[in-house]
Amino acid sequence: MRKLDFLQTAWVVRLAWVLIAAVLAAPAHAHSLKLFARVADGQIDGYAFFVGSGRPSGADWFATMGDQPVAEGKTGSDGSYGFAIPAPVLADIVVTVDVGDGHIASTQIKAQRLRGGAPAKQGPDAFALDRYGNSPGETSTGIRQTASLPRLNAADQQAIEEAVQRQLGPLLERLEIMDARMRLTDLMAGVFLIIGLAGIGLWARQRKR
Amino acid sequence: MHTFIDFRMSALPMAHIPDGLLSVPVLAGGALVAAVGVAIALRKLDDRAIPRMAILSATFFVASLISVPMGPSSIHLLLGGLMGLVLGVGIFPAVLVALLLQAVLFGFGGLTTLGVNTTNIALPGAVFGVLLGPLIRQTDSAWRAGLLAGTGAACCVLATGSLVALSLWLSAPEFAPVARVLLLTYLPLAFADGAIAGVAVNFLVRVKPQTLMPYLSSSVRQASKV
Repeated sequence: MRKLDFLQTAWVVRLAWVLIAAVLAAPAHAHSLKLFARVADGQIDGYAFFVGSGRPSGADWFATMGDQPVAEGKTGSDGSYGFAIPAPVLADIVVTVDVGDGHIASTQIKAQRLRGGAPAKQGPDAFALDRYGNSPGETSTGIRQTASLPRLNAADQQAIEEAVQRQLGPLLERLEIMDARMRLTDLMAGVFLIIGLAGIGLWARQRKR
Repeated sequence: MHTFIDFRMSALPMAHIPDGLLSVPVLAGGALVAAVGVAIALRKLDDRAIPRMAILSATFFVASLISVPMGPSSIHLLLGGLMGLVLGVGIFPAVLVALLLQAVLFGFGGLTTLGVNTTNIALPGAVFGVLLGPLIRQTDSAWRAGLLAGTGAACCVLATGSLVALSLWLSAPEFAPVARVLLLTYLPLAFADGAIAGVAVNFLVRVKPQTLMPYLSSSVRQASKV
C-alpha cells in the first residue's frame, strides 16, 4: 500500500478546506439574495436584499405574467424596483432579480392579490366578502346566518386592500428575512446532527468493547 | 386529471417523492429494500466507516438541497455513484439519515416515502460500488479510474431517474407522462454528477487510494497505520 508523502498530505488538507468552504459558502450564497414585493396604489414595488448585508444596486430585474414579460429595469441604489400592475391581470406575476454570478431571486405575486381580493368573475358563482372578511351569510365565528350584511362597494374594498398592504409590508419583509435565516440555521443544524449521530455511533461501539 | 398531474409535477423535486403520491405496495417494496440495505450496512459497520458515512451523508444533505429549476421540475446533485464507490452498501444509512433530516427540517420528500426515496438513490450507487468498484480500485491510471467512475456515476443518476419514474408509474399509470418528463431532466444532471465523481476519483486515486475502499482488511489497515 502506498504511503502518503508530505506533498500528498498537503493536497488532502487543501482539498478538505476547499470542500468545507464550498459546503458552507454555496448554500449561503444560493439563498442569501431575497426579494420583497408589495402591492399598493396600483403598483408593485419592493426591493432585493442580501440577508444581513445590504441591497444590490443596478441589478437587472424583470417581471412576467404567465410567459409574458410585463416590466423590466435595473434596481435603484437601495435595491428597489417598481412598476404599474398590468391590466388585465391574467395570471400570477413573478418578479425576478438577477445580480449576476448565479445570484437570482424571484417572488410570486398571486393574481388574486393583484385583483385586490375582488371576485374574478361576476355571475352565479361570484362571491364577495363582507366587512368582516366573511362570505355572505357567514359570521366571523364561521356560523352561517340567513341575513347577510351589506356588501362593500369596489372603492371601499380597494381602499381597505391598500391600507392592509401598507400595514403588512414591513411584516412581510421581516418574514422574508427570518425565512432565509431559518433555512441556513436548519441547514447547519442538519449537518451537525449528522456529525453528532456519527459521534454517538462511535461512542456506542467504544462502550461495547 | 391534467391539473392534478401539473400540480404534482410542480411539487415534485427530483428524487424526493413527497407523501401521498405512491401506492402502498410501492411504498412497502421500497421500504423493504431500504431496510435490507441498511441492515447489511450496519452489520459491516466499523469505526472507520462511521465518520466516512457521516461526511458523505452531510455532503449529500447539503448538495441535494441546492436545486436548479429545470422545466417543470428541478434538479440537484445526487452523488450516488461517488457515495456507492466510497461507502459500498454503507450508502443506504448515509442516504437514509440525510433524507430523513431533509424531510423533517425542510419538507423535502416525505416520511412515508423515505424507504422508496432511499432505495431510488442508494440502490444504483450500491450496485455500482459493488460491481465496478473493484475494477476502478485496481486501475493504475488515475485518469482511467476517473473516467470509469464518472461514467458509472452518470449511469447511477439515470438509474435513479428510472427508479423514480418506475415508482410513479407503478403507483398510478396516469403518472406516465410526468415520469417521462422527469426522466429527461435527469440527463443534464447525469453529466454534472458524472463530472464531479470523475474529478473526485481521479484526485483520490492519486493522493489517497484507500479512500475508495469501503472496508479495509486487517492487513491493509495495519499497513496504512505504519
